[in-house]
Formats: sequence, structure tokens, C-alpha cells
Amino acid sequence: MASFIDRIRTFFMQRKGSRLVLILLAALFLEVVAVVQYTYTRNMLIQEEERITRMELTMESDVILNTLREAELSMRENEWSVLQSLAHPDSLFGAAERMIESNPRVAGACIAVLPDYYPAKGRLFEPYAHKEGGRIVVEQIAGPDHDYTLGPDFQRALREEMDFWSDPYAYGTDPVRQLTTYTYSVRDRSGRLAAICGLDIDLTWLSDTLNVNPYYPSSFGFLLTRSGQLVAGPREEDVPPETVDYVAGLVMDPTVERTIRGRHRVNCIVFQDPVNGEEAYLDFKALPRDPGWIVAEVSYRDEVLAPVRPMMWRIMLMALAGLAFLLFILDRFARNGKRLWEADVKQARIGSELRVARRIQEEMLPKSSLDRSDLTARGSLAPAKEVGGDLFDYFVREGKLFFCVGDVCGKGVPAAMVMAVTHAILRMLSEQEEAPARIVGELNREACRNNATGTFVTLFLGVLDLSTGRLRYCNAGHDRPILVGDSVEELPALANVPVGVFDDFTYQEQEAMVAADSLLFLYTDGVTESKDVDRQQYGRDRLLEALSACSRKPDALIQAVGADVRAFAGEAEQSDDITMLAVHYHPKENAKG
Amino acid sequence: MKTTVKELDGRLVAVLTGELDTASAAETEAALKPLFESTGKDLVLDCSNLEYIASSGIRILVNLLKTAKAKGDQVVLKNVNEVIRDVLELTGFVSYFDFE
Repeated sequence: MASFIDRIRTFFMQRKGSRLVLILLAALFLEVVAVVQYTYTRNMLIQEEERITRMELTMESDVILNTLREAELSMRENEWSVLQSLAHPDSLFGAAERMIESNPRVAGACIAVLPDYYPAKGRLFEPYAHKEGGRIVVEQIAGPDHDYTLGPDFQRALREEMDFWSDPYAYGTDPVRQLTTYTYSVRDRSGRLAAICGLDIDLTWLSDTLNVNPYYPSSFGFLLTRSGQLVAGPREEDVPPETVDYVAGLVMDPTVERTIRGRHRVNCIVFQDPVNGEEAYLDFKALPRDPGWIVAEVSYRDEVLAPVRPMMWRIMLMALAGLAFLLFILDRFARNGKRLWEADVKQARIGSELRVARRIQEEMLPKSSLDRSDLTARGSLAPAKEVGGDLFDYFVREGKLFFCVGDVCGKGVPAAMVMAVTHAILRMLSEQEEAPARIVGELNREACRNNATGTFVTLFLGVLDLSTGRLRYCNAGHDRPILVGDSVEELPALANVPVGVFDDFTYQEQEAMVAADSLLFLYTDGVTESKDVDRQQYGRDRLLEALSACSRKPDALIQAVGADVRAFAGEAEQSDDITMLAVHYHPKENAKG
Repeated sequence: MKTTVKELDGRLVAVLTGELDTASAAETEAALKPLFESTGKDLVLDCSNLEYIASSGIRILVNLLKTAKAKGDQVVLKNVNEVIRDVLELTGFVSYFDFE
């Protein structure tokens, strides 16, 4: 570490103009950290959009399929009534009426009898029931103007002899309604094809279902047939028809680049809205069975990424705070340079300036103890030099306590710089993620990215669920925390390497239950490796002994352990940063007092 | 803290004596320069008389390990005492070194 300081010093003394370059490099580094964080959050939001859209598409496709299936079922239920009525042509009117009554979504029902089936009724006979002004009207509609045998659905039913849904079509004038027809054939008792039945389903409600309460304000959904005809979509006043036509075209154009995701086979196309010029995502999937229509949804990127903006400000602010800290230290180095490093007399001045740096560093740590009805936490950090390479932090987010203690190898200004950056990254990651091993893994990748000196950080990160006492933690090469409960023992720790060494290392997570009224004690090796004048170490055994004798009030406990360490060291100089963090878990229901 | 480097049976051996703490880390790192620069020889750190190692000392060992592995050479820790082995175990580095 001393060589690093030497290098900085020589640098300043030899080339004064380069000071600016170094400061700019430091600023650049911090901005790179900020950009990495921004990208990370942004990717999370895009994944969130994929998840939400996948869910909505699946839900909508289920609603449509269920409606169609219900209609098919009510058809089946009424099949016997049609069969019964075949013997008496006039009773087919009643059968058609019953088909309408059985399902509120059915708008009309027709029974198109095969030509010349009833000689008494002439060549064509088609009883038809439909709703008109709340009443059901039943009539015979075949005639010279309406030869149903020429209709495409009738001909297809004869040809294919299987049930099918027609493509939707507009019907009526005021209001215009979207209908689709389910067609199936009926045979009489002798097995002869007797009639082709059709059930009209009103699809007008679909547009509303697709566009009710979109997750993103300007998102909209629509439904296409297999051939690209628009069945349902947003209202014209909400989305310009040009936009809807354009995206429908994208779905149908196989040359447009798309990605297909997951077992739900959702297609995604990224495109630019031709009307407002905004970047957007188009997600769609086909119904898994007949009629194979396509449900689709469009979300605008600006809205998907909206939450990232306030976060960007926070990141910038933290980066600026860190930068101010760095500038301060670098500036002191530069100004005082050779003179102050050589003259013992003037070292006091550096001392006073570094004490200011220390105050800035202290500002980054939690300012007070955490006092809640279910939890008390307190930390303390006593650097060996004016600025330290240790860190601790705690805060509660969504009913969970996030807490950590870390130790940068080495001490003094270089370690303090690493500590400042590590601390800032850790805070930001913990605001978005709650799996300790994932937070540590991500921190490790960042730390490895810019680590020419091979500086590493040992770190313990825990997430305690305050409602259950379940503790998830990841220990990256740090001293095992001590759990003071019915007994005093160390938390088991897997051998994860410290942060900043191997960028591809996979960090393992562990779990433990923390009983009510237990206390977790975290520390850095400055505690156990404090030496007395004979260079004997304070050691873990003394620490365990001190802890079992202490009160479980974090304030008092940290004071008592600190006093014990100082009493042991006596006249010897403190050689390393001493950091302690105590967390007392006392949920109301089970607390002993 | 004292560091001496010699060549023995085709391997480069550094004998570490004393306490490798933060204060002596820079000096030790400089003394180990021949090991950092060597290629094609396995490296041995004789820890028989190494009493204590701080995290800044571990950093030197890990950097040496990374440098050597990149060149296909091994780093062997010889006669490591229990305290130091504990530190290596706690920090998860124990599986990366060879021991004699």
C-alpha cells in the first residue's frame, strides 16, 4: 500500500499538470460505476415488462378461449334439442331460441337445413333466432334473396365436416357489432347430414377487455385473426388507427426480426411508432387452438423505463458525494506534497485535514443506531489511521433488515477510496435485490472490473426477515459473525473468497433462524488481532468470553467489548481499523422482557 | 519481516520470516519480485517461520497465485502453521493453493 502512496506522491511532484488527469480519471471511474448501475436497473425493468406482458397475454388468451369454449359447450348442450326437433320442422324455431337463451354472449343462432330435406317446406328452410331490442325474435330467413347454400361457412361445413370458428365480421349498422360464428353439422337418427348450425358470438366486449387498466399508461392490446384482420383493438381516440395498422402489419410480416421467449412462445418485436416516433415493444402470441387468433400488446419504452429516472438521480448524487471525497483527499495530497511528507513538524496539519476526510467518511456510515420495537442495531468504526478501510451499514427495507460489515485489505487513504466506492455500490444493489449471494456476486463483478492493484474486500452481508427471524446471508471471506442466544457461537460460514479477486466466482448463500432476544455480533479482524505490548493478539476466545458476559443492548455491548479490547492492548498502538456491529432481535410477541 | 529468495531443485523458493502485516506488505511484495517475474518454474513460499499474516499479506499471495497460474506455474505453500491455514480457510483461498 505504501508503494501506491509513493506513486501518487511522485506523480504529483514530477508532473503538476497531471493532477488534473488523475482527478479526471477518478471522476471517470465513478461515472462508469454509475452507468453500470443504471444498465443493471434498466435490464431489470425490461425483464419486468416481459414478465408482465407474458402474464397479461396469457390471461387475455385464456379469457378469449374460455368464452369460445363456453359457447361450444352451450351448443353441445342444445344438440339433443335440435335432434329431437328434426322430426318436426316447426319445432326447430324453439330449438334456435333455446340456443340463444343458454348463453348471454350468443347474439344469434341459425339452423340451416340441407336443401330439400323437408319437401313440405320447399327447397330451403332456415329458422333463425336473434336478439333485437332486448327481445328474442325468431323467423325463417331463407328465400330467393338469401340462399344460404352459397355462403362460405355452409360450404366449408359440408366440405370439411368438422366444427370451426369463422373469421370475425361486422354486423348491423347502429351500433356496428363484431361477430364470429361457430359452425357445426347435425346428423339425423339415420346418420344422414340434416342441418348446419351456426352460433353468432358478439365480440364487441373484447376491445374493452384487452384495454382495461393497462399496466403502463399508454400500453394497448389488440386481437388479430390468423390472416391479420383486426378483431378488437384500442379506441380510436386513445391510439391512432395508423399505429394499430402498422403494428398489425409487423405481426404478419415474417421478415420483421423477432425474438421468441419461454414456454408460452411469446414473440417480441422492437419497433418505432410511426406516428409519435417513440421506441416500443410489441409482444404477441397465438391462441393455442382453433381459431388460432393472435393476442398482442404494445408497451412504450419510455414508460417501461420510467422508474429508472429518479434512481439515476440518486446514483449521480452518490457518485458526486464519492467524487467530492476523492477530490478532497487528492487535493490535500497534491497541495501538501513533498513539504508535508518530509517535515515531521507539519504532519499535524495533514492530520487535521485527514480528520476532515474522516468526518466525510463517517457521513457515509449510518448516522445513528436503529431503534425499533422489534430490533435494535448499532455499529461503530474506529480507524487506525485518520481514514479507514472498514465499512458497516444497516437499514430496513420492506420488513427486512439489510446489514453488512466489510474490511478492505490494507488501510489508510487507498483502502478508504475502495471502501467508499464499495459502500456506494453495495447500497445501490441492496435497494433493488434481496438475495445476499446475488448482491455480493454483482458487487464482486463490479469490483473485479477495475482492480489493477488486486485489492480485495472481505464482507459479510445478511438479510434478516423481521417477521419470521429467518436470516439469509453470504459470507465473502469475512470473520464469522457471533450469535449470542442461549449459547454463544459462530454462524457457520462457507468458504466464499473475498470480493474483488475472481470475477467468475459463484457466491453461496446460507440460512439460519435467529431466535427472539438473540444478538448478532459482527466485527472485523481489527478486534481479534488487536495486540498488546508483547505482540500477543486479543483473539477470538477473549471476544467470545467478553460477549457472553455483556448485556444484549447493542450500545452497551459495543462499549463494553471496545473497553475490553483497549484494556487488553494497553499502551500498544492500534494497528488496524476496529469495527463492530451489533443487532439485537426482539420481536414483541416472544421477547423475554 | 524478512524475505529471502533462492532457487532449489528447479523451483523458486521464498522463505518468509516474521509477521506479514500491513506495515511490512509493501516491502515483502518488492522482495518477492523475482517470483512475480519468473516463468516456467513452480514457486514455493516457505512459511515455516511465518507467524502471522494480515489481509494485505493475503493479497500478495493471491496476486502471486493469479500471476503464476496465468503462466501455467504452481504456487506451493510450505509448512503453513495453523493460524495462517485458518485465515486461508476462512477466506476460501485454501482450495486455490497447493500445500506441502
